[in-house]
Amino acid sequence: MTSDRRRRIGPGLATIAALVIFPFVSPSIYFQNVLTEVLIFGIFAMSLDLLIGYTGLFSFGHAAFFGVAAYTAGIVATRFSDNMLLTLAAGVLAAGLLALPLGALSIRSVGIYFLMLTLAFSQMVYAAAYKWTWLTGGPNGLAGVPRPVLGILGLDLASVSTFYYATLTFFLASYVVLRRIVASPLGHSFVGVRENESRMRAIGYNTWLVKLAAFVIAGLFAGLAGVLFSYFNGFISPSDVYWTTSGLVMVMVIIGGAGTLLGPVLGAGLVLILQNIVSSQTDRWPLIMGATFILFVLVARRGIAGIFHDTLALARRSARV
Amino acid sequence: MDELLRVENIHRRFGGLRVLNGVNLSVAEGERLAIIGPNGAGKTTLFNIIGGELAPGLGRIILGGEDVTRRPAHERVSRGLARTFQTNNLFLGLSVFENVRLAVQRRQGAAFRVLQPASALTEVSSETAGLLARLGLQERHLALARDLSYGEQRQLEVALALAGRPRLLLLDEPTAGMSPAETASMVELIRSFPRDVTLLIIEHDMDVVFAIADRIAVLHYGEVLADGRPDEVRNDPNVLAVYLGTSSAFNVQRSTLISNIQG
Amino acid sequence: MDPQTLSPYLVQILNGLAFSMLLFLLAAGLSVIFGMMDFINLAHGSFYMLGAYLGFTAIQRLGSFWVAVVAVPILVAGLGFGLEMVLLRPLYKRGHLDQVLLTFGLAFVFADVVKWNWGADIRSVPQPPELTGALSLGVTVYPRYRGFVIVAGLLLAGVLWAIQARTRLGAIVRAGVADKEMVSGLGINVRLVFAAVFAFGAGLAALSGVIAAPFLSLAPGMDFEQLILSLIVVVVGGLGTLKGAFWGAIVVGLADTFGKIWAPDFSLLVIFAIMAVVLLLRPNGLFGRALA
Repeated sequence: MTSDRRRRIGPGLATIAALVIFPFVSPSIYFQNVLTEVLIFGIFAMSLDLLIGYTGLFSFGHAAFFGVAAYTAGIVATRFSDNMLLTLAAGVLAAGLLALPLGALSIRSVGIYFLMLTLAFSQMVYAAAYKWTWLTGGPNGLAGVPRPVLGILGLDLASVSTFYYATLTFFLASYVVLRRIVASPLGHSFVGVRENESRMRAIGYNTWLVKLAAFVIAGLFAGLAGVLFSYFNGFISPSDVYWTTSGLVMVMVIIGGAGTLLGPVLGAGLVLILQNIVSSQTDRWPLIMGATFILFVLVARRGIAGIFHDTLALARRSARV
Repeated sequence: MDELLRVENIHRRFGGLRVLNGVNLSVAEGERLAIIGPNGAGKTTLFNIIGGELAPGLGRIILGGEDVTRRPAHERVSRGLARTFQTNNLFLGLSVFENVRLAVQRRQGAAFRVLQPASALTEVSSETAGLLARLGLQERHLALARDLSYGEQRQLEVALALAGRPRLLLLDEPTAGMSPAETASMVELIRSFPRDVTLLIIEHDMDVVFAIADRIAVLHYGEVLADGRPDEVRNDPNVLAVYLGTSSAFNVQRSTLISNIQG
Repeated sequence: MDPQTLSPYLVQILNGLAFSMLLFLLAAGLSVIFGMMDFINLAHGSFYMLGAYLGFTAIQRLGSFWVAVVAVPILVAGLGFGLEMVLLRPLYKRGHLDQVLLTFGLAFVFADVVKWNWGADIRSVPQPPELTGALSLGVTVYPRYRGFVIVAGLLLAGVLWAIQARTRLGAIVRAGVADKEMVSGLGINVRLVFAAVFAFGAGLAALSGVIAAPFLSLAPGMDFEQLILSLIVVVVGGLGTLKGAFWGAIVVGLADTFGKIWAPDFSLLVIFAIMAVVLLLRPNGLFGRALA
């Protein structure tokens, strides 16, 4: 292995190793749960990064797919079967099926018009979650979602660390797949549309189709995150589909660094951990969160990923000297 | 020879302004037609309508015998049309290589592949490298498009259009803003295109027009004033009447440019 | 139709118009700022909220609604001016993502500052004594204050239109919306114009808040509610056009009022649905131009 490759893979392997041994080092249930939630929102944020960072589609309604998948998995689990494959497939499929028409309709508009359309559609999903009490439990939400059963492997996902490992597996798998997609010709097409959509059309691309592909893939992964969330939380409510959830994941992407895939994961970590710590210490946590966002924009131009990148470059330069 | 492009009775207005007022043109396969005329005559608008970025108010565009008037730009590209833009319309944030690679992967039908990395598509990469070499951009292939000199950006414009291996190529003022040396090498490049690429070129530089065009169409206030071989157009009384002041340009029998190229 | 059956509709239409005028004041600033500076300001609802709460305090301390109506918007406009010069200016080049994050953060900060200072309880503001009571409209009576809101709104709309259509500043703003590089090429101090436009937009939003205070109640969350509604207005009407902000506000205001009567839980949903339909038919809003 060349030293360059070692340099690139090294930090990644080290991080994975750290994530894997984490439950042994820190058996505290609280921290494992926090990390589990970070990984779930990490998948959610990566999926939105595909839209915002890579394709330039500013969606403010991504919670719709997260929520629909969470509800679908929860409904299937509480009414039919808690088999993991079934609930997972149902949830992700529901998200994908919703993403097709929503995407097809929204993509015709650009910029702020697109943003408002995605917001509008996700608010309609929220309204359905709120109103269709017979299906979703209405404003009281859907409670009692069990941890899924993975009969084949005989795993008890009710255990905190087992669930953590399951989530970690899904996270790593999602990361690998999304990396692949981003490096593929389709991924390059996404970037082309972001950089200059009119030129893409002039060289023969059906940009509507490219954008729809991005939208649906992003919706599927958001769905995966949603399903995992419903297992994790045991409870889903309409607020998980509210625009504040879309706003939260968007903040994670921007703070983390759009267009880097990994950045938004770090952004998810920062926002969730900050939210947890700060809200337990003071009532003034919106003030602190808001100030943090402002600080990030002013100081960290390319988000957390940018900070890492710059620090690494600086370290390498001084090491070479 | 077969007719490749027919522009039939095209009308287009912007608000109260009638930009194109019944334009008719026919371009045969392999032909090289230059469209000239003063600024504001509607030339780029005509290109936008032929290319599919703009819809005409009236009239039809027939490409290769097929009525493509209702077809969006990207469908005309897959039917063999390509164009360059008057002001550079590049992927400024991407490298020169990536700019062209996007066009090549589209032409090879690989644009929607998800499972392999783009770098693994060796045919795309080699075709891209080949095109860049042909245009003399291979040294700059890693540079970002926004860091290129103006002349290099114009070349990249042409590269993006050529990558589609079009049968009809629309060049919108390819030598605009170029130095004499850059202009000469662009003319050389255009003359080197195989004859099965039909050319439609908007130009202001009459030297370039005479070096390249088989036919000239003069567009004036949205109407075709004259359309024919260069010597016919040069002696056309309508054209002379309009261009009275610049008729000297038409008297150039053989420009130094041509003689330089032909050595 | 006899007047008896007409009058409840008349009242509701007037209510809708009153609300539309409030929305118009908010959306006008937002639309021009977006159209001209290509800047997404998610803190615009905060100016509205600040206007309402500062108005509340001003009326409490000074006892005069009229002083508040003049002083508070000027104060908030000053805040907007300062904010633009210090925080927002570097963001014009940085693109929408950073603008969203920064103004979102600002909105959070303002919301919490207001909650800290005025508490989370719902407040109400008394109407000025000159405008209490009801007007007779023939078939029915109508609260005088709301009538004032409608009239004031229409007057302001007229003034804004006149400024935009008849003055040099208006021409500059319109030109700026169409092509801001050209405007700076004409030797006009674009930075000053941007700061002034932003401040003016903030002042209008605050004015809307002060005027709204006596007939809507003040509560946390009013900033985001109005922000979403004014974004819908801007989108429905079309970016960067005063005419769009006006007619968009009329549509949304009436839809909100009648929506609250016919489908009380889902008036917002109805508005969103209307917006979606408008966008599907006219992807750039009623009067908007295609985005670059």
